[in-house]
Order: sequence, then C-alpha cells, then structure tokens
Amino acid sequence: MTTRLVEGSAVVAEAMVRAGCRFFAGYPMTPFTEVLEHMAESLPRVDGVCINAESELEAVGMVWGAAAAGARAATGSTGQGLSLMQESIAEAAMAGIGFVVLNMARGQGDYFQATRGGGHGDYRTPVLAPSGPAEVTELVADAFELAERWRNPVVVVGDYYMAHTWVDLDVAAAVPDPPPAPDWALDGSSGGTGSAKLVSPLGTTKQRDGVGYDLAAHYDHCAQRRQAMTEGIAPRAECLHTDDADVVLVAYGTMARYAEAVVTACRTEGLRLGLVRPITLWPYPSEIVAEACAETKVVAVYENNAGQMIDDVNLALLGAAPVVGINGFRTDSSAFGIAPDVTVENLTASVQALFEQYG
Amino acid sequence: MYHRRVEREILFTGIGGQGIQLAARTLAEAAIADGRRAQLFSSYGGMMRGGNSDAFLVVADDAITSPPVVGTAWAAVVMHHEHAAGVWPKLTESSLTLINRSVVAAECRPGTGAVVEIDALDIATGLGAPVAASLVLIGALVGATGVVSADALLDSAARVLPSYRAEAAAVNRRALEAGLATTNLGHPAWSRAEVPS
Repeated sequence: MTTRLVEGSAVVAEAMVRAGCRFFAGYPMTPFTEVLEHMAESLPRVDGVCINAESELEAVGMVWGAAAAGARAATGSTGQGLSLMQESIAEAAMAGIGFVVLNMARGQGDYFQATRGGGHGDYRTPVLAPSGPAEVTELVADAFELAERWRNPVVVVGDYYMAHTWVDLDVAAAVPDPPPAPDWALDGSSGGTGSAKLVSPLGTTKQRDGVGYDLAAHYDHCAQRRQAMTEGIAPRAECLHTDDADVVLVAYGTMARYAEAVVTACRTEGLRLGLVRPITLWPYPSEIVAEACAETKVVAVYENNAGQMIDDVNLALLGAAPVVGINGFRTDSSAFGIAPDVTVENLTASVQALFEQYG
Repeated sequence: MYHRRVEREILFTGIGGQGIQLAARTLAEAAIADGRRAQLFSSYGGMMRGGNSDAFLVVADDAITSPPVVGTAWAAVVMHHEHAAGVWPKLTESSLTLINRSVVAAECRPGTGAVVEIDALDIATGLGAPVAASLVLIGALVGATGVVSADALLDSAARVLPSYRAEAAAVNRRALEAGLATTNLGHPAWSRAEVPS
C-alpha cells in the first residue's frame, strides 16, 4: 500500500472508476471541471471513455445513450449546468435509465435542485452527500448500485471544499472490472419477442395496434417503480452525541465537518451538543432526525445557503422542537462557495448563544 | 482524561504566481513521506496572476479531524500583504509567522505570536529563480520548526512537479536548502524530534 497526496476531485474520479464507471461526459465548470479532468486522465487507462461535450445538454444526452447500452455511466456539473440537464434527468427517470450525476456545488445553494430536481413529471432522484473525500469512495459505489438497482438517476453532492481538499490516500490495488451489463441493455440483440429491445420515457412496449405507446399504463408503472424505490432505499444519517443533547445541530456535507469539530469541543466543556448528519438527502432521514431530536430543547440547521434543508428538518419534526437556522453566510471573492465565516469559532459562538437562550 | 490530538495548522497567503500552492503541496508531500497525515485545502481566484492564493495545511500524527478551513493557525507563511488580513485573526500568541520581507509591506505584521522575517524573494532571485521564493520561505519554516524532516522536504521538491516542469526541480531544491539555512530550530513542532515510526 502506497500513500499519496490526492486532490478531492481525484478521489471522486478514482471512486467512479473503482465503482465501474466506464463512460463519463461533462462540460467544464468549477468545481466540476477538476473531476472532469481527472476522469479524462483515468478512464482511458481502463478502456473507458471520457468526453468533454459541447455543453451540459449534450453531456447528459451522451450518458443516456451509454447507460441505455448497459455501461456504468455518469455525468455532472455545477448549479447552472445541472439546471440545463434537468429535463434529461427527469426523462431518464421515466425511461428507467440509471446513471450517476455529480452535483459539484458551490456552497449548498443547490440543495433544492439536488433533492427536488427541476425536471418534469412524478419522479425523484436518490441523493447521497459525503462529508468529504474520506467518504466519497463508499458513497459513489453506493450511488452506482442504487442507479442500477432502481434504474434511476442518482445524485452525489459535493462542493468546492471537497474538490479542493487534498488528502493522503492509500492507493489500493488493481481496479476491479465493472459488473456485466443488465439484461435490458440495448446491445443490439432482440428482446426475444421478435421485437427490438426498447428503452424510452414513453414506455417499454409499443402497442401493435397502430396507436403507439400506452402512456397511461407507462405512467402507472413509473409511479409503482418510484414507490418501490422510495420504500426500498433506507434513509441514512450519522448521529453524534444526540442521546442526551440539549442542542442538536443538523448539517450535511462539508458543513457537517465543522459541526462535528464543534460538537467534540463543546462536549469537552460539558455542553450537551449533538449532531445529526444526513447522508441520504433523498430519501431524507426524517425518522432518524425526529428520534435524535425528541428530547432536545432546540434544533439548529447549519447550512451554507440562505436556508433550504431547514424545510426538511421542519417536516421531520413537525413542531416537536423549535428549529432555527444558522445560515446566510457571505461568500469570498472567488464566488466558488467558500464562506469565510464558516469556521469552528463562529459556529461555536452561535451554539453558545443557543445554550444561553434555550438552556 | 480528554486527549487532544496534535494537529499543526499552517496557513499560506499570497497572490497568484508566487507559488503558494506549490509550497503548500511540497510541505504536505514531505509530511506524508515522514509518515504523518496531511490535509490541504487550497483556495484561489480565477486570476492566474495577482489574485488571492491561499492554502490551509494540517499535519498530524493521526487521522485529521479538522475541517478544510482552520480557524486557528499554528503557523503562517505570508508571501504577500494583499490578502494577509484574513490570516491575522487566526493567529495566537503561540503562533509562528514567516514573512517574505522582500515583498510584504513593512506595516503588515501580525499583532501576536513570533515572527521570522526572511528576504525570500531576494534569496530566490540570487539563485536565479525568483518564482521559488515561496520554497525559500517554507525551507525557513522547516528549519525553525522541524514540522517535516529536512530530507523529506528536499525529496518532495521533485515529486510535486508535473512532468513539464521537471527541469525546475534542481533549483527548487536549492531554494529549499537556502531557506533551511536561514533558521535554527527555535520553535519545535513536535515534542520529540524524531519522526513517527
């Protein structure tokens, strides 16, 4: 085992390749650019393909095709680029095509975009949120498994902090081969019925009566598939010192790392502070949040936006405890989502004020 | 009893083109070569020249718990005054600040902690490589603290360079050596001098 200093975006790319991703397409935009560069370097080494597309629209379209042909495929972008992709992500969900979408955000202003999506139709996309490079490998692998199992796009949320944090990484042995393509993949063979295999957002079988697709039947099927996915994915969250906490922080991604440092420091001073870190942002771990906050005096949602996940925490608690937001941080001049006021010291001060007010 | 892990936070500040990111990575690579853990967060604007360039490096004996941007610094490497104001509030009376005296304005000094002033740009220019000034300054930091071993630091000079910059390895190494020669071990980073096994 050799230890190397690796940029977070390279950890993401390495995780993608290890998870079997063999087709990647995207269009540059910081901090997604860095992942695209590493994918361009990594994929040819394992006979994969990485394409710098003309725009995000083409990138997600290419991934559609690759995933429909049975490849483990992925794309991604940053806020605006993902907005362009929303139509295709929605259509892919309706077509039953699974791929991974990296939401390499600037800050956390795209929480709603990631968890609700901006596309059309009665669809959802599972969302996984690693707290940093150390958790990326596991969750990217999980994302590909979910995408394949539920035949649905799956979002992995990162940010500038994650992309630009270099960590020492044990470089593992050989990259495993990707799993075989699923039976339904469009590989040129027929479906055994005398007709070509079909993958379409309009349905999986064409009626032979000249009418075309039975959209009503397809949408019913999509709704059933979505219901099964919703019930089939166990929401995940990590709880730290919530058993006896007077104040509980809720934070995801990079923000949770600041929160964790503050919880550790406060506990040494006898302050009963806890943390819930949602790992699945959809399905949201509402029951875990509700249980962790059942006895608490106040819940504080710490997020690098003007207040988005706080809505999900309110839905989870339904008034069982007061919920306040610690948010609205200014960004630095790079506008890449770096918030100079997001520090352990500032969060500690905010938390101490809550203990004084509610303790 | 609560055991606080020893993490050494080093802030780097300067402007684009001064080699801030290369210096931070050189130090991080050396820490890993010493058998320690390292975490480095880099932050820079879109401008290749003149924009802010900052780095936050944490070196530790064990798994690093610090978030990417640290609030308190054990040491600071100040290559330019333009964006240094963000560094001063993170210093404590036990912090050590390395100043690139050739460039940093005279009125720009921390209000607390120890300060070591090095004519890093002048020394690097004397070596024929003014762009290696940041390496002179981290050489001085290592000489003053032993936060990484001198051997590991010198060996990392070549490793951090991309292949198309390989010809710079030799002069970068000389810049590190020149920096090491400017300071003595007055602020040891670790309680024992040896590197972890």
